[in-house]
Amino acid sequence: MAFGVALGQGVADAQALVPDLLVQQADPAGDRAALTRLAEWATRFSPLVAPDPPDGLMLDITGCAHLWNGPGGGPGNGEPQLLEDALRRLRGHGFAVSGAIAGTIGAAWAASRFGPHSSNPHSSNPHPSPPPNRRREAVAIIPPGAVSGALAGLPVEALRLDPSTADGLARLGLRKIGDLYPMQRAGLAQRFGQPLLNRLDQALGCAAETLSPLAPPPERRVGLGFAEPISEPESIHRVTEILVERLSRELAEHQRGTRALRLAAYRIDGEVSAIAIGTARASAETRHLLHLLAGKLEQIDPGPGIEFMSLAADRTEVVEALQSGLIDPDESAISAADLAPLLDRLANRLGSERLARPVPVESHVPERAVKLVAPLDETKKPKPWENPPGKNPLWPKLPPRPTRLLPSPEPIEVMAPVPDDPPITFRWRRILHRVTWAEGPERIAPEWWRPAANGADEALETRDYYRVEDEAGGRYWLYRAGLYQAGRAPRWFLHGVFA
Amino acid sequence: MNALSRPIQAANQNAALTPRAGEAKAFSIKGLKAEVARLERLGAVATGAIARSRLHDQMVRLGVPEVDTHLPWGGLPCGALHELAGEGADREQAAAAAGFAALWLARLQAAGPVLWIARAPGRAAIDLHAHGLKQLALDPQRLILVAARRDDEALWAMEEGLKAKGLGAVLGEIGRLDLTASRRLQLAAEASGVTAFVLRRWRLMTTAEREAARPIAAMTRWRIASIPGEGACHWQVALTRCRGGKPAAWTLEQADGPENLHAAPLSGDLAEVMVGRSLVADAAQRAHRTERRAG
Repeated sequence: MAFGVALGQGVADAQALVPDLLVQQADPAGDRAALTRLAEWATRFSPLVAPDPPDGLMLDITGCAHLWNGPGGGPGNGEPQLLEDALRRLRGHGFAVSGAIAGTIGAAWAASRFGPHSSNPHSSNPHPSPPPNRRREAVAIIPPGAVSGALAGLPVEALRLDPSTADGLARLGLRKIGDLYPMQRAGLAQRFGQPLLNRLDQALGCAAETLSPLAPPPERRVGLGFAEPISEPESIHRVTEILVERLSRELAEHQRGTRALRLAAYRIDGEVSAIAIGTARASAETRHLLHLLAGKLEQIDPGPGIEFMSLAADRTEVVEALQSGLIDPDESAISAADLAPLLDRLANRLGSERLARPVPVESHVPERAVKLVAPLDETKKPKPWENPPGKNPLWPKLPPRPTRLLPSPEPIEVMAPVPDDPPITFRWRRILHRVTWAEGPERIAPEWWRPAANGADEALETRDYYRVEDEAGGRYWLYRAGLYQAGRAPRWFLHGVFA
Repeated sequence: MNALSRPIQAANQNAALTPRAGEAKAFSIKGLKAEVARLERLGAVATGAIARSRLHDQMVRLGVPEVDTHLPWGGLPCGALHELAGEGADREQAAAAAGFAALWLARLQAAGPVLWIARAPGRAAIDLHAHGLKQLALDPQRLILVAARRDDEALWAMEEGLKAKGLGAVLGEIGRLDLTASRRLQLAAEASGVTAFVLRRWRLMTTAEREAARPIAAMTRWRIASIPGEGACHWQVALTRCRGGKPAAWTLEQADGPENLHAAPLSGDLAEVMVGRSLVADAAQRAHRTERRAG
């Protein structure tokens, strides 16, 4: 770096060297967010992209490079072209960037930051973490089998070591990775711990290391690049049509349908604008999928223009042939084929977590007695709401239940003559209700075999429920939590309102 | 079917629109009524939507003769918009109104599942209790719940539901509703034959007062008030507006089980109820007057 300013220097020192130095607060969170955005942008090269904070991106380009080989399949495997393309585009966006392709994550990390093409050799750098803004413009491709040779000349910092380990190695005169090769592993492990050996093994390919990509790779993906950036809504719509047609043809060939689609538009300014839709049932129907996407297309912001669009099917399932008319009415209460398009439209505008179908749960605790599941989720056969007729009633008939059950019981102020009696008056949401009629208690014991829902003791308390009616005719469901204990005021809650 | 009981003034308004109205048919009331029905249905027939529904031009009976015979259709007409609202504290809770709605919905479930759009930020916050609804004969297995955060979301979801095929009825819990929005719902219901309900739910009493008096394009408007009934469902049900019919009020009670719903002896027409329950009747009349002015 110019003027003798170096990473890790105090601001005062640096300002002493360069009096008119421009100082800005570091923004690690902003940097991380920017890196994530950049990783998203990089999914145009490979679906498997992992941000490598603070300043790196890892791409698994297995099986991707040949696409950069140019039409007609020129010589080579396309790797140099891919790397060249990626670096050129990144530099176009104003990044100082260097890159490398290697057979292991560790070797690629080392070669991209400390490789021979790197304009600034690091051997003299006392700080092992590579500076994020250092100008590096290296291109290095380490062919398989040449990893140990290529790494031998690099400084030990290239092994992603923590500073103290690197300092310790330097003190012993072990400055290059090659210096470590002849060393006794046991000795190294004893002195510097297992992490050093792990890093060495990972770089050389003797130990496994996996990427944790930004998003799991889609199961199927189609893409379309444009010679000229597009931005008109009509063009975007047309491209979407083409992509959906291609994807659904591909899906149909394999008799599969998709449950989740992601349409991504890669803009020329490096941003990615994406929309996602989900379907209640696996679908490969062009019209249906297009309809769902079309409703959200306006959310794609073309910015200065879109140069590449991709459509990925994230969850695919085998499509079963639908026999809508033949479904036994008892088997499927909600006719899935008819309602799927409606439910998809609702779910994609409001969010799938807003749709529900109640299913009964064998529980006495009222808030647990009903579970809300996705409307067309038929993975498990639902339990019947009633005991089948003629059978011994294992599950007794429920006493009256309210129409409205508050999502969480609300504490009320109560006046009750005797601890065990229903209240005479109660105050709920600041309104005083005079009880004219009450029935109860219906004792609901805690389900000790289940853990408390939110760690609170409340779920593990016996509740005595009362149905009460006030002067105005309102009918409420109250309960007293816990058994009566001398010296402790009973706590009352309102849990529901009857019709 | 429902057109047979339209008021004759409506026919006169529309008579000039059609060349056939000036001919011999104009003399017979029956012919005029048929003409009006034809005009009213014209939009739906033109879009081809009318034949789709099994229940179209049909009605559903509550099973309480006093109520069913009072309604000019012999029951609640399908493929139309109906408004239900609570009284007093129930304007916020909408428990009794939901119970009354459940009775109608249960009878409409034969045609298809019911879409219930509740006011809640997420599905976990929906305050309906399926076991409670089941005790009012609504089959939870044929019930789809949607959580809507705002009125516009709920109205949009209602319209989508009304446009889709395969549903028995659509109910939306709505706070603010104006004439335009309600007309859209009414038209969508008419086109598809799916019955639509708006269950009015207001958090503030001032909003409730204002909204309850506002005219909307519903076929019928109901006000349901809980009255003391020793724990059993006991409602003062007021029909405050009924297109082509008269307002009325009944006391309904449900002793045990949904099949036992019946009108209590206190039932009757509006004048009779006014003596006993002036509050409900006043509200009914006020709403009725407002609508006549607006319409």
